[in-house]
Amino acid sequence: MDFMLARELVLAYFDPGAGSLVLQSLVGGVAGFLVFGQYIWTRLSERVRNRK
Amino acid sequence: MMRTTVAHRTSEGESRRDAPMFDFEPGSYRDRGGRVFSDGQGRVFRALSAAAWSDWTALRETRFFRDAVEQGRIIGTEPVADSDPLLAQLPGEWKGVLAHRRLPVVSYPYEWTFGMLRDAALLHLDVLSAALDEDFILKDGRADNVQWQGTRPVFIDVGSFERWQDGRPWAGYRQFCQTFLYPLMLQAYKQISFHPWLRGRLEGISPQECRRMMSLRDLFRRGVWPHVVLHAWLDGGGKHDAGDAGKDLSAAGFGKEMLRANIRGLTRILRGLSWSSASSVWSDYTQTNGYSAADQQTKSDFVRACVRDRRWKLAWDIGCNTGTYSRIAAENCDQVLSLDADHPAVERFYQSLKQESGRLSPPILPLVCNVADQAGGLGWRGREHAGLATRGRPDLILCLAIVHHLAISHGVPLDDLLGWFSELQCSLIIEFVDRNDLMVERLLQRRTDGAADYHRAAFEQALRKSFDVARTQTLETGTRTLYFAHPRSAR
Repeated sequence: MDFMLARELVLAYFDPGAGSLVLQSLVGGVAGFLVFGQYIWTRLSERVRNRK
Repeated sequence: MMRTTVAHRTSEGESRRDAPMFDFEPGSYRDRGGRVFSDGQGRVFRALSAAAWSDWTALRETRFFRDAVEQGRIIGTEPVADSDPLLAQLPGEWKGVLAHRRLPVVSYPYEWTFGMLRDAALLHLDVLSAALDEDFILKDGRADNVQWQGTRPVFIDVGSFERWQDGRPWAGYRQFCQTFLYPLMLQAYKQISFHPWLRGRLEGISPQECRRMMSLRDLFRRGVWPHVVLHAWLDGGGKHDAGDAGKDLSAAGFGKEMLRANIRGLTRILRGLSWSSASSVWSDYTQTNGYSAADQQTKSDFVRACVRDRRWKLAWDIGCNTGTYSRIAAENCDQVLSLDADHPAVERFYQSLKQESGRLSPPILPLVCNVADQAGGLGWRGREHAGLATRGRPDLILCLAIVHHLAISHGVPLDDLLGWFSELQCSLIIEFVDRNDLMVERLLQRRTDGAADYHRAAFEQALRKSFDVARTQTLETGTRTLYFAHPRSAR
């Protein structure tokens, strides 16, 4: 499913903006806030992993 | 509309006389999944790729789509039969073709009033919300996905629907903000006209630009903090790839309820936006124009008699103000395009039409347009957005109490003005206001050259050069004369 999602977004006929996509979790209610937290956690973890 | 014309050629490379001409819509090039074209006979089609055709076959089975088409909120659409020769002759690799109901006239968001842009935005969100219920989403969020049938907004981009995949955010959210939300916020919160912004760049206002225009006070207005400030901050870096962000969001549990919450929030913000359009010289013109009741009646009777001369296909009412004469024109006209540079006046006209008409809206489309500063030739190759006359040539023009403004305030020579009408080959209901009229005297005081070429003899000479005058009427004041004229070569 992740692969499909990435493929679809890359194939979108314009750049939807990474920030604009992420913001949709923040304006998406309480559940969205939790998703945003998880998203940030994933990003930070990736950054730490890449440094090692 | 200006189009790229492609004549179909046979495999032998010879042009076939019986083959249709495919006029591809110049603005329909971004999405490789579909392309809009007309067949040169006024019919509008949309060619679809295999992937887009698959989405269409699923879409046509959904309840929301059928209902929205039935209610006129989405453009009427039918597939073209496989046996239709159009499919075989269409250049390019397409899986199928849809035929759309034709709308009377195309307009652009920078010609709409505040209320029109807001109603179009609400329709867009409404359609998106209904689509989500049946696992569909819109690929984009541009304001020009919407057009008008009278005062009723219609969603036209059927190719924008695609099946929603779990975990996927709305790719068109930024476009929606740039072409709907920010222009409306600027008008409502800052009293900054959105028209030059949307006309200046078809992609609209970026989050960063909108953020820079917001003051500290504005940060506390509804929607500004999340959709402008946060948006500008998150969108500003441009370091991250949208595909990666989407993938990570999906993995983090992004879901449909978040899309719904965003749509609900945007809808609430839009419904809360208002613009006070009462403070304009021209929006009160109907009450303050200086015409006596008798003159107004004489003028209305004259216009009505001319309009009844025959059935008209498309009329322009230049300087329509709040639409008194557009309404009369609409009595015997398939479509009236009501044009005025004064935003509050056109907004007032739009709101009054909307209140009166309900679903059976009269064939009037009011637009904010200064004919002395017309848009056109915008977008890719200067062809995406065409000028007014290219979008539909009128067969009747109403030009009442506006010639003196064009000639004196804007400096348009009378010869040139009548020359333009002559090129359009349309009949005219035109009013000339003489130099000794109070309003004209006031305008002349602002010009150092005294606009010496502005007088009745010069006007009549320019008019009679290309037109046959069928009827005239001088109003009781003696300073205002009405003419009904036909282009010489057309009668």
